[in-house]
Amino acid sequence: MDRRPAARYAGVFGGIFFLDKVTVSFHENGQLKEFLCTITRYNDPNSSTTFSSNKPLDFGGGKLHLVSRMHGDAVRFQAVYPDGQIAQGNVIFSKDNDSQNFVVPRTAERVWARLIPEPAGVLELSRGVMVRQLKPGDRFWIGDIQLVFLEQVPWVGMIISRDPGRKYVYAGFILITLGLVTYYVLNWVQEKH
Amino acid sequence: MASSLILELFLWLTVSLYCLASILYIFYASFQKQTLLLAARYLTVAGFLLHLVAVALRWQYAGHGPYRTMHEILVCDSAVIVIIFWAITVRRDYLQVLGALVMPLALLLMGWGMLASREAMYISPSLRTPWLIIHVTFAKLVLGCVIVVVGFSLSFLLRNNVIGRTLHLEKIMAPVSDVKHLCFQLIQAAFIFATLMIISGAIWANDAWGRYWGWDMIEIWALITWALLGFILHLRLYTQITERTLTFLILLALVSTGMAYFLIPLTTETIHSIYFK
Repeated sequence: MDRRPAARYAGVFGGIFFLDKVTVSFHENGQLKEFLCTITRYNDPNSSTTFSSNKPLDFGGGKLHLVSRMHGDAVRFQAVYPDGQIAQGNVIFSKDNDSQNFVVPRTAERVWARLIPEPAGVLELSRGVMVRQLKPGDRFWIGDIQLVFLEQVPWVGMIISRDPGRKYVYAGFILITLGLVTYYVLNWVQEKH
Repeated sequence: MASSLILELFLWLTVSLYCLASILYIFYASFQKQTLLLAARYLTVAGFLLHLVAVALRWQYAGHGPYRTMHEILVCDSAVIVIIFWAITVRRDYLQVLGALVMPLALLLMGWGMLASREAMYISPSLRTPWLIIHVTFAKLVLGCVIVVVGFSLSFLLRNNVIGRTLHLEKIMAPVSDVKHLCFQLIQAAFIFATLMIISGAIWANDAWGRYWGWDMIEIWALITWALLGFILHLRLYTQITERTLTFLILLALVSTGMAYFLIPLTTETIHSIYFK
């Protein structure tokens, strides 16, 4: 299975980027085979970069790490209230968890959501006896509140880190190793003589 | 299919030879006949060569080194124990009898590996880094050193009890001071390997997760093992440790190593064990 959806997310930490593409493929036994992510910096449309886990990307004075166990599809929805106000929300799904119980923003209403893998882009919402399958743009009514299924987008787990003391940490690693080895080698030489 | 059958054959031949070698080492401790020791040594070497072939065949079959499934890990770990024991005792005849304690431990680990699933797993993207090989190599060396030193330290208990006195083990066993000195040398080696294992793991963690240390359960037990090994070495500098105390501390190190390597990954969902699923 190879999913190549194009989606755009914005994140902030020394800069904004768009998540252009997530490439996830699996082996026949369900194990993760390939996991790549392409982002573009907000202020530089030609800066498209692809990176993978274990190979963090230099970004905004820090590093952007891709967490390979965290990925899946998310559903963006909009809640429209009787007073005309609008709130947006996301429900995230993963490979091992294709259904979620979520709370409609500003209410205590709980809705059960299930993402149907085939055909892609079908969301099943249920609340009590009400069950309905929605495609992007469809609406689901909970009393006076309407939920609009906006779109299905991929999501990935990312970690942004800043590590200004990296060189000192590495110097510490080298010193502790050299110190230990030197101490024991000197001991060994002394014992020999 | 044929290659997996050949692999099975090599594995079972290794188990059989290690089993025979263990029996002969124990008979040597009991009857103290040089021919028994010689046979045990030859069987150990022959078993180890077959063991190496089995590890190489598995490597070829799985497409990666012995660090992905419990079967691969345990089978390789037992090879590390045998090579460490062999390297230490090859020029020290007076230590050979300790094979009666070390070889059964290697056999036990090998047996556990034989019971684990043979299913090969792929290397996930998060594990595709040279740091995996460095980290796992040092981890295997730590385990190997700890298990060999456990075997050596058990000899302190054995020689002073009724079995040791009845069999006159002191005749064929190395002097207590020599074995004790060797135990400390092995603990030193394990301590250095544990330091390098933790450092390589920290560098990898910083690349993968953006932090050097995460207080994950496996990391905590690895740190406890490292601290315990360091504690034993420091204790030696300031006090006279009796053989019994040293054995107790070494067994504690074995427990904490077992927690980090086996019990926690098998029973708890941690960031480390998730990667192996």
